[in-house]
Amino acid sequence: MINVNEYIESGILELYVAGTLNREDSYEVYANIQKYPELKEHVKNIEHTVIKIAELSKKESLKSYPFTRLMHAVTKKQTNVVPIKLYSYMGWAASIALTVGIISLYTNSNNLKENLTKQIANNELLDEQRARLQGDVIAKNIDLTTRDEVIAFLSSSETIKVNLAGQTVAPESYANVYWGPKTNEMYVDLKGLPPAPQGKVYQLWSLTLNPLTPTSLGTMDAYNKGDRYIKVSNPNKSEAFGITLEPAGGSESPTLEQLYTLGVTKVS
Amino acid sequence: MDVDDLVIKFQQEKDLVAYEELYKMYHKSMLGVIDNILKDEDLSKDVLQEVFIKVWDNIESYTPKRGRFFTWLLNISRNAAIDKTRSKDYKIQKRNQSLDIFVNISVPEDREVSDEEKTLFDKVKKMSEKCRKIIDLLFYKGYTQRETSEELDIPLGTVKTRSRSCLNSLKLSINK
Repeated sequence: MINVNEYIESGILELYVAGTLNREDSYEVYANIQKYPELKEHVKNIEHTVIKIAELSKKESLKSYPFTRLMHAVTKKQTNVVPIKLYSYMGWAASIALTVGIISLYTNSNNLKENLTKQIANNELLDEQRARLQGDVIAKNIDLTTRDEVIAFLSSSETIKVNLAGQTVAPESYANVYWGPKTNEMYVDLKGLPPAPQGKVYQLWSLTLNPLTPTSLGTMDAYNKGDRYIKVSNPNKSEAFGITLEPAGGSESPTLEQLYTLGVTKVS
Repeated sequence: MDVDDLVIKFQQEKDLVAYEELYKMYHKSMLGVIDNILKDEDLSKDVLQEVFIKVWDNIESYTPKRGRFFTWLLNISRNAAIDKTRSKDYKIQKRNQSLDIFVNISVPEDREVSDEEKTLFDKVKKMSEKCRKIIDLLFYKGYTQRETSEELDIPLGTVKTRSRSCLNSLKLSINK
């Protein structure tokens, strides 16, 4: 136990924010901040004051470059690098091992799967959907010419961001979806998925929850070729998005055993 | 979103939106810190850009246990600016201008200020030379406790208590 007021009065938090404590003391302050919310608030106030002084010291006319310029610099780097890392493969190998053990778990969810398949079968738009499986996806390597558009899209207040969290097959995987419901425009960031194995492809689904109905938004073929961002068109009233691993060419209904990531939109 | 959560999100997912939020929060103040060292507007803008690229490239190496993200960013900014003063691009006549950061805070005639900023202006005006010096050295010049105590010729323990009482005299709160 520490006396919070004495601790604040000692001045140790000011030195902590200034970065002049030794490692041991920093660790201790860090631990205390986690324990006592008042300390954290005090630290934030110190930061705020130091920030405000610095902001006011700056000439009004001196302006930073716009964020877009910075974004060009960092995303350009990223598309130039093909991120094949050992741990991605290890993650993948681990998910295969997990899947074998988990299939038995999923027999219980067969009802759900049947339900889903039925929904699809009943769907009058089945043919149209099938046609869309491959045709709908415009894979885009975001190059310099389209980047400004993308930036405008990402920074628009009408763009909804959905985090898709890793599921049982690959708990450490993730994906992000950026969707403008008014324009139907949507970008998927697939960086957090392991590479799709030979003969397989990721497929993106729009889901409505009640009743649970999946609609394919297409296969992510471009990801197999190394593109991180994929542009799709999504005219659906999506309440959730999911990504499954399917045989090359895609499937008509999602293979739930291979559900990689799932996330719910916040649209009411 | 709370800044600590933003940092975690950016660190774990290299999330561009979180990165932009952090940029919005800190770019003005860091530009102030950098230009206070360089006194060269064009160069300062470039250095700020380099700083945030470093943040993107090295976020994996940031360890919350060792210090605040803000502190980490402040360190990168100061160091990048100081490095620049040693480079060929830097005009020699600008070296050794060791003015404290408060010198640049003048009457807010030419800018619109919030009530909070107005209060800060007034408080800075009343602040003692002692306080200006210690805050400037510790936060904006990156002096250690020992260096600060030597520079100001005060006992080591006083650095701690004085930095507390001086910052406290400005008393800004995030909740106001």
